[in-house]
Amino acid sequence: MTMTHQSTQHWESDILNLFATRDKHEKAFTNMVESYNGLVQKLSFFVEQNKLLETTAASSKEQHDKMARQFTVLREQGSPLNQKRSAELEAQIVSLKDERAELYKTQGTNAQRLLDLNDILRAKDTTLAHNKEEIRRLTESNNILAHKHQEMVDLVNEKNITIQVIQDELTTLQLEMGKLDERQRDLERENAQLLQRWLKKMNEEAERMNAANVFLENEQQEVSSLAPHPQSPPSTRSLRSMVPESPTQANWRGGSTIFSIIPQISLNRITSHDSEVNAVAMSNGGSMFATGSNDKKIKIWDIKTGALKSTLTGCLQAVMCVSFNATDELLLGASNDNAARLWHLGTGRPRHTLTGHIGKVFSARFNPDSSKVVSGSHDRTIKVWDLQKGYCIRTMFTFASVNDVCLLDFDGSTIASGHLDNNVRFWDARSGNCVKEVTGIHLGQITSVCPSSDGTQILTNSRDNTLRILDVRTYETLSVLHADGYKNGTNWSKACFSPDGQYVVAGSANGALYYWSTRDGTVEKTIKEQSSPIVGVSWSGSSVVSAEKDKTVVIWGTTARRPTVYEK
Amino acid sequence: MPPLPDKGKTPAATASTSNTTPAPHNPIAKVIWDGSIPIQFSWDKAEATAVGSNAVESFFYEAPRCSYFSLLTSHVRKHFVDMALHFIGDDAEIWYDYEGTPLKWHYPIGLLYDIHGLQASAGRGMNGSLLPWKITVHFQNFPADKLIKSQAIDSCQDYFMSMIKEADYLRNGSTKKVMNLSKSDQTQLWDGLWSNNYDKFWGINHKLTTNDNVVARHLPVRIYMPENCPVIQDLVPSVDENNQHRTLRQVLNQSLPDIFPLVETGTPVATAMIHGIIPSLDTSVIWASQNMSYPDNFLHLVVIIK
Repeated sequence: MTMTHQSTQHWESDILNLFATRDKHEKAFTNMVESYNGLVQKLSFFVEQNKLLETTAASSKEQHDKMARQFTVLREQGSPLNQKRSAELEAQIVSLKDERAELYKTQGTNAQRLLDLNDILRAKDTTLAHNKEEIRRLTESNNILAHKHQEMVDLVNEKNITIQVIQDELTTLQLEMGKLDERQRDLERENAQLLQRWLKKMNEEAERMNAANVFLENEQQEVSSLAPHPQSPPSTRSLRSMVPESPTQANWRGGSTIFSIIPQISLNRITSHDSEVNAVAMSNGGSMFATGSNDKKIKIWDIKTGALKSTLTGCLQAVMCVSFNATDELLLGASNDNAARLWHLGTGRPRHTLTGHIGKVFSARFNPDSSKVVSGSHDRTIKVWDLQKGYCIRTMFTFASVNDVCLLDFDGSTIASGHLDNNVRFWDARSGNCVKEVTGIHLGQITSVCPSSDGTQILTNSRDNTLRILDVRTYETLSVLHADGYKNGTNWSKACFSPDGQYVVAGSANGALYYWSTRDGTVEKTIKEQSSPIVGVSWSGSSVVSAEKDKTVVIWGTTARRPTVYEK
Repeated sequence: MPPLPDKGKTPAATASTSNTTPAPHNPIAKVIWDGSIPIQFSWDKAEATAVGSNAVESFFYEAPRCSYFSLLTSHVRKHFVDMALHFIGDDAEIWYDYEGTPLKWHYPIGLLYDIHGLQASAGRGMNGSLLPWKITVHFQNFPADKLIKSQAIDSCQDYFMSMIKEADYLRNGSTKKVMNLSKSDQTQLWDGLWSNNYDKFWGINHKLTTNDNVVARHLPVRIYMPENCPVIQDLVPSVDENNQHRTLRQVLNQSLPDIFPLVETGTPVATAMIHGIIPSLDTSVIWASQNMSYPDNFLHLVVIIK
């Protein structure tokens, strides 16, 4: 056993040695394999890691690609929401396009309709313009018609009023006519009686006249021996004055064939007006005179007594001229209120107011039969008024302010006028033409024109302090009248012939009266009773009335020496 | 043989109570257990090319001699799968060959190395180191005619256990010892082998190998001849007619009288190799069986013809 044990030990050690040898050989690679395995592990770890990383990278890349795709998609199409919205919008676009197409169609039809409507509109416009034009025309005519209608209505009213007035007046006149008719019948009866008596008397007178002729002839011979210039045959004048006749051309002015004697005795002296006196005129009969004044009144005075007969009112401004008609029934007054007025002296009522001048009326005269009135004004016109019709029948344009007018013949067809431009003009009243213009005779404005009683001469008074006598047929100056100390005082100062044409009287600025003889142009007489400028003188019969500016009127008379014919 | 402490009375209890039952001190067994071989696994080139990974690196592994290839398969496969990336293999399809010869997966690795490496190279008169052992790995075309199919770990365990039982039967005429082992002890036995845990394995195994001074009837010995000769397994009595312990020479002589004469007359023709060493032929078989058996409790003798 021991042996066995020892051998066992021996084997054991031997075998262990063998094993050591084997292991030395077989385990030579242990370290290497271990490190290899470590490396492999690491490698596998790295591979794993790498794989992981690759996976991560791949997934990242994939994610990136996805993102990029998504981004592209998004960039192209926007987000899904936007895509949805864009899809919606596209759908909307499609629908809108459809709608737009529809609208285009509608627009086309509308355009067509618009065109049609435009045509219609144009037509309507035309019609409208036409209508407007017509309306305007109609309105215009309507206005005109309305205006005319108004005018007509006014006219009708006026006429109605006029008719009323006229009817009133007619009634009055009819009443008056009735009275007058009655009076006329009375007068005719009386006239017939008077005529009867007168004829009887005339026969007696004729016989007495014949008896007296011898005596008269004897006396004339005596006178002829004294004065070489025989007057116009007194027989003719006497006869003419004897013959009862209606006023004719020869004596319409109430002219007298009786020799005039210079009235040099102051018979009466009147303080006439409240204000300055502008005009004075004696009646043709010589029984009264009229004065016109700045106090707008005209006063009628009695020559003999110097009493105030009546006062005529109605003028609105100063009275510049007064004038009686041939029968001394009417009085004409010209006034600065651009009117001339007519009064009936019997009633003292105004008969006419002649308005139409546009300047001061400086002069107004009746024609012989008192059917017309001629007036001259500072509006450079002369107007002729028809008293029957009551309105102006002619206007003559004189180119200068008229200071005075006068009538040269019986029917009043020739008119002379004195003007502010120093000239005298002659007019044909029928045609209205200027017949003659006499220039260069005066150096100052003409203040009055006065015809001689026979109508062949005309006296002009001027501010150049001279007076001239013109022949109305040749328009030549017959004589020039002037005097030392004579001075024309106002622009409306009136001078006049004596009734027989032998003398001329004019008033000076110092209040003196100058008488000139028409035969030789010398101063016959100078008398001075007044102190302020004389504005007018009037000579009728044997009386002269002179009016000075300062309200005073002086009545001049002659002494009692008168022709026996009139002494009677 | 020194009497071993009697622990076999309650083997199940000790085994079942503790996995860490200390193994009896046996330097020989320890050395055998620790023996290992460096192996270079290479993927079969044709297969790799077919798969498309032509340049797959080899896998180096130091395998315990007592282990089986089946237990390495998972490592090998993992390696190649890692390396070849796209490869998807099946554990059941893996097989190994050395220089064209398929390796039997139910042989311990050390035995296979002794047979195919050392024995074959000795037979061809080759010298020099075979290490690391170059093994070719196949994932396809399992040679069912040469190898037992289903080389999975479970099959390997069954085969191993049947070897244990066979050895037990040879020794004791019954399999009572093995069958008396509890299920957990049997599992621990295999687990110890698998996890290369010496204490775990031998804590159980020594119960089977201890004879309690009763001489074993026969010894589990297998003799491997070169050139694919069938394995020789004779009934090997542990003692001769003189009740003497038999030596290795006697045992070999019994089976191969021509090659192993009882008395050496000249240069020995052949030697027997165990665990890569060539022990003296005078070594007691009983001792050898007790100390130098593989974990399946067989004494595998590889005959090397000189």
